[in-house]
Amino acid sequence: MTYWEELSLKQRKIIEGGDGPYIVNAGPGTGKTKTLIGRIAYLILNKKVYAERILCLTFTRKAAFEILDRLKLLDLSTLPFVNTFHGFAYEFLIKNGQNINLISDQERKKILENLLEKSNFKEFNLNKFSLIISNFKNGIYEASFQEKELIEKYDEELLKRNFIDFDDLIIKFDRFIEENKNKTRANEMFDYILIDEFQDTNIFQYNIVKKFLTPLNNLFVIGDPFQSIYSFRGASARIFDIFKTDFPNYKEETLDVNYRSSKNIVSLSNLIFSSNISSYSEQKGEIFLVETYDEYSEADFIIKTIDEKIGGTNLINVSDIEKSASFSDFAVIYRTHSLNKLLKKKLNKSGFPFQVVGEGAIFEEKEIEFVCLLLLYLNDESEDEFLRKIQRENNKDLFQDKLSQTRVFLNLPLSQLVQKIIEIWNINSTEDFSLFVGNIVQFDKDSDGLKRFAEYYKRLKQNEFYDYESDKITLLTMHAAKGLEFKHVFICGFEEGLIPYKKTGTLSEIEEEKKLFYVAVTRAKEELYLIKAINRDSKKTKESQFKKTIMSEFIKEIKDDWKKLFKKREIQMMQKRQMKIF
Amino acid sequence: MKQILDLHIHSSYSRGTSKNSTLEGLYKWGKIKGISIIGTGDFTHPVWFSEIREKLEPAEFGLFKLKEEIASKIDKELPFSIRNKDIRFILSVEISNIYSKNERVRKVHNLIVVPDFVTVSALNDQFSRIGNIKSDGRPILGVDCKNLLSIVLNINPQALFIPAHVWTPWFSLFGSKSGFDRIEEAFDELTPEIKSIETGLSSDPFMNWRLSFLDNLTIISNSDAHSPEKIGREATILNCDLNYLDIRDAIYSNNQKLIGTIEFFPQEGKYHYDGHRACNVRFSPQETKKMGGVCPVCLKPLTIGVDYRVSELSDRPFEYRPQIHKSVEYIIPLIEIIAEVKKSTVGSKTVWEIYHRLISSFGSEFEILREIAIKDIEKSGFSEYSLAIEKMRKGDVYINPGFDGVYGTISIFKPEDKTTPYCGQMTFLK
Repeated sequence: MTYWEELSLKQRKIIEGGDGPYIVNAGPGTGKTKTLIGRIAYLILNKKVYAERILCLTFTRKAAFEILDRLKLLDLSTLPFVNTFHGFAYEFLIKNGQNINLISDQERKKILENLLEKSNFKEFNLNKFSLIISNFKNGIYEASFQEKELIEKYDEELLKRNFIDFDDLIIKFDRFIEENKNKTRANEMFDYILIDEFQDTNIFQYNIVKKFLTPLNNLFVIGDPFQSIYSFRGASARIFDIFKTDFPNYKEETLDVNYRSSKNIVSLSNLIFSSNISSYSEQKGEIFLVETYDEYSEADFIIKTIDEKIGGTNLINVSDIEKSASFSDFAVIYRTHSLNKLLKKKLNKSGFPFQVVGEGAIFEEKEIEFVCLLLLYLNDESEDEFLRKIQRENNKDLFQDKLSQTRVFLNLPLSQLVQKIIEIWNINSTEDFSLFVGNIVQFDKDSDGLKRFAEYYKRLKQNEFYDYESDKITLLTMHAAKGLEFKHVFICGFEEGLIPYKKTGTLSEIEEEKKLFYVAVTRAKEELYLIKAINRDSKKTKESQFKKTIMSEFIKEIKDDWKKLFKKREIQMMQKRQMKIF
Repeated sequence: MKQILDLHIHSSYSRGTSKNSTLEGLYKWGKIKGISIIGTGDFTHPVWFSEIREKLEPAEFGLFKLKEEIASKIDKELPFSIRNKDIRFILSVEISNIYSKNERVRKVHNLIVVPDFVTVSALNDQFSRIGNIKSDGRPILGVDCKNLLSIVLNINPQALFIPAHVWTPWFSLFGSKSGFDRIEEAFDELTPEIKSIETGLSSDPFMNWRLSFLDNLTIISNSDAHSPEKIGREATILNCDLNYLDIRDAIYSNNQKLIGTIEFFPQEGKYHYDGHRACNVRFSPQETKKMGGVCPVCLKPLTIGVDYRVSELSDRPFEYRPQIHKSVEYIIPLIEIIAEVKKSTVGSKTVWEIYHRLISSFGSEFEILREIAIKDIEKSGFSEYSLAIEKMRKGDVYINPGFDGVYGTISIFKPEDKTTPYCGQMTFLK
C-alpha cells in the first residue's frame, strides 16, 4: 500500500496541487498533519525534489518530531529540514559560523525571579514579565518606561552570562539575514516552504520566512483560523489575510471533513463559529451538560465517570463494560491551571494514574529539588546550581558549616546520606519525600552511589522526568490541548468568568476565548462533558455566555443528586466529629 | 525443611484493609497460624517501604526478619507453644494492571516478589513515573501486564512474577469479565517467563489441572489477606532451605521442593456457581449449559461463575485428576470450626477463648488443622473439636457453593435446613 491510498480525494488534490502560494484551511480532525506529511512525501517521491530544498516549520518540537518520525517510515534517503521556527533560526546561525549560547528556561527563570525581587514591580508575576519581554522584543508590545528599564537590566544579566534568549535569537537571525542580504547564496533558499499551524505564526516570523523563498513562491501554509489562540504572543488569524495580500495569485483549499470526532461533537463545534465541517464518523457520540453542586462534586463526577467507563477499579464498584477504555482515553481540560488543584488531590486519592501536562515530577518539588541539587554539588563542585540557589534564598547562614557536616557522611550508602542531609539541613519530610528516598535506595549497593545518582538525575531531567510509555488520565489547559485528541473529554468550569475567562471584555478577546473553547471541544472523539459547578470557591456561578450558542437537541443534561450529596457530606462531617471525640 | 509460605498479603496502606496489618501484626499472626515465610505486600507504598527498611533486617539471602527489639516484645505475649518459631519476611507486592488490549478493557492483578531493597527501589522509581503509588498499597498502573513483566525482568531477572488469583471474574488473567482466554494473549512472546500462577480463593489446583495449557506451570496458593488474622487461609508448602533462591527455584521449576498447597474450599467463593441471586437460582456449569445459560425464573442470562469459566477454557472433564500431583489440602479456618461447634459466631468471645486454649495446648493453627494426631486433641479434652477437625481433614463436609455474589457455605456438620436454592445438596469428597 502506498501512502496515497489512505488519503481522501481532497487531501490528494492538495498534496498534488499545492505549488505556488497555497493556503489550506484545515479544521479540527481533518487530517492536517497527514496532509502536510503527504505533501512533503509527494514532493520528494513523485516530484523528485531534493529533500534539502524543502523547509517545514512547525509550532512545537513535538510536532516536528512526529512529522520526521512518520517521514522516516517512507524510507527516504535524506530527510527535509523540519523544525520549529526557533530551531530553524538556531541551526541557520550556527551553520553560518555564529556563536549562539542559548539560555535555558530554568536559568532564565532565575534571572527574572531575581530582578522581580529587587524591583518594586510587585504587580506582575514571573510569567507576565517573561511575556512582556518577549513581546517587546518581537515588536508587538509598547513597554512602559519602568518596564523598559527592567528589560534593560535583564539584558545586562544575559550579557554578563554571555547568553541570549529565544527572542534575541530571532532578532539576531533577522539582522544576520539583512546584513548578509547581498551575500545570501541561492543554496540557502528553499524551493518549497511549508508552515504548519499557520494561524499561530506571528508576522515577524512570517516576514523572515518569506526571505527564504525562491522566486517560485512555493509557500504552502496550513492551519485553522478558528484555532488561533496565541494572540498574547502576537499571532492572529489575520495572518491569512496578510498572506493573501502578499501573494495575490494564491490558491486556497479547505479540508472540511472531520475524521476525529463523532457526529454530535462535530455538529456542536459547527455552532460555535457557524462553520460547516462534516463528520466522517458513523458514530453519533454523546455530549453532556453536567451541573454539579460545586467544585468538589465536579471532581467526584469526573472520577466516578472514569471509574464507570473503566468498569470499576475495585470490587465495590465493578460493572460490566462493553467497550474498550484505558486511562489515556480521558482528558480533563480547563481554562486555567488554578482549576486543577482540587482535581489533583482527588485523583491522587483515587489511585488512578494521571499526569498534568506542563507540570513537573516529584523531583521539582522544593525539598526534593534542594536535596538533589545538594547531591549533585557534593558529587561534583562544578555543578553549583545548589550554591546559586542558596544565595538566592538568602539561606547563607551556617551553610558552610552544614556543608562540612554533610561531607563527613559522603561514604555512607546514598539513602543514609540523604537521612543525614534531612537532619543536618532540617528538611521537612513529606510523603513525596519518602517516595524519593525509597526510590534512591537502589543506589545504596554502589560504592559510587552518589555519582550514579547524579547521572541518573541528569538523565531523567533531560526527559523532563516524564514517562511517555504509560497510560494515564491527562489534565491540561485549553492551550496545551491543541493538536491532541481523546475519546472522552471533560471540560471543567463551563461558567462565565472561566469560559470565557474573566479578564476578557472586548470583542476580540471574547472571540479568542471562543476559539479556545472551540479547540477544547474539538479534542473529543466520542464523548464530551461540559461541566458547570453551581458554586465555585463558595460563590454562586453564572451561566457561560457560550451556552446559548451551543444549546441544541444533541446535548443531554445531567444534574448531581444534591439531596444524596448533602446526606453523604453530612455523614462524613459527623464521622469526622466523632473521630475527634475519641 | 518444610516451610509454609504466604506471599500475597496487604498492609494497612492498601484499600479496605485492617489497621492491624502492620509488620508486627503479621509477625504475631504468622506465629499463631504457623507460617514461616510471609510476604510483606505493598512494597511500592513509600511509607510502608520505609517501615520495612526500618523494622526489618536481612536474614538469609533474600529473606528478612523483624528486628530483635521489636520481635521480643511481641514474643513475650505469645503462648510458649508458638513462641520460638522463626518468621521470615519476603518482599512482595500486588499490582493492578488496568489497560486495554485488542479492543477490550483488561484488568489483571499480578504478584511480584523480589530479593532485596535495591530491586524494590528501582521498581518503585519506575512505577512512580508510570502511575500513582502513594495512594494505595496495591497500585493501579495503566500498563500492559507484558510491559510490567518486562520492566521487572529488566531490573532484576531473579524476581518472581506471578499472575494473581487467576480466575477471579473482575481482576485476573483468566477472569471472565476483563481477562484473557490464554496466557499468550496477555504476555505474547514473554509467555515463557510465566512459570507459576496463584489459584486464589475461587479456584483450587484440581480446577486448574483441567486445562492442559497450564500443565507446565506451578500452582501456588496465598491468602491475599487484608487483615493479619486471615493470613494463611491459603498457602504453599515447600521443602526447601530458608533462602530466596531456593524458594524461587521451588516455585519456578515445580520440582520436589514444592510439596503442594493448602486450599480454601473454592465453593465458598461468591461466584463459584452460576445463578441469579434475586431469583434464588443456583446452577452448576452443567446445569447452566443444559438451560442454555438462561434463568428458568426470569428468563434472562445467568450470572456466570468461576467453575463455568474454567469449564469453558478447559480441555479436560470435570472429574479429571492427574495421576501424580502435588498435595492439595483443604482447610477450614480453626476459628470457623470452633464457631460451628459452639453454634456461635467467629466474633464471639467464647470462641476466641477456645481458639487461644487450643493454640496454647498444641501449637500453631496449621499444626492443629494438619498435623497433631486426632487422638491427642481428643485426649486433651477437646473431643468435639477433634471430631470436627477429623471430618475436615477427610473432606467430609457439607458444601453449598456460592453464586451471583452470595458466599458459599462449608459446614462440617449437616446444616439445618434453611431455604436452599434451586438445586440439590452435594457432598464433597476429593
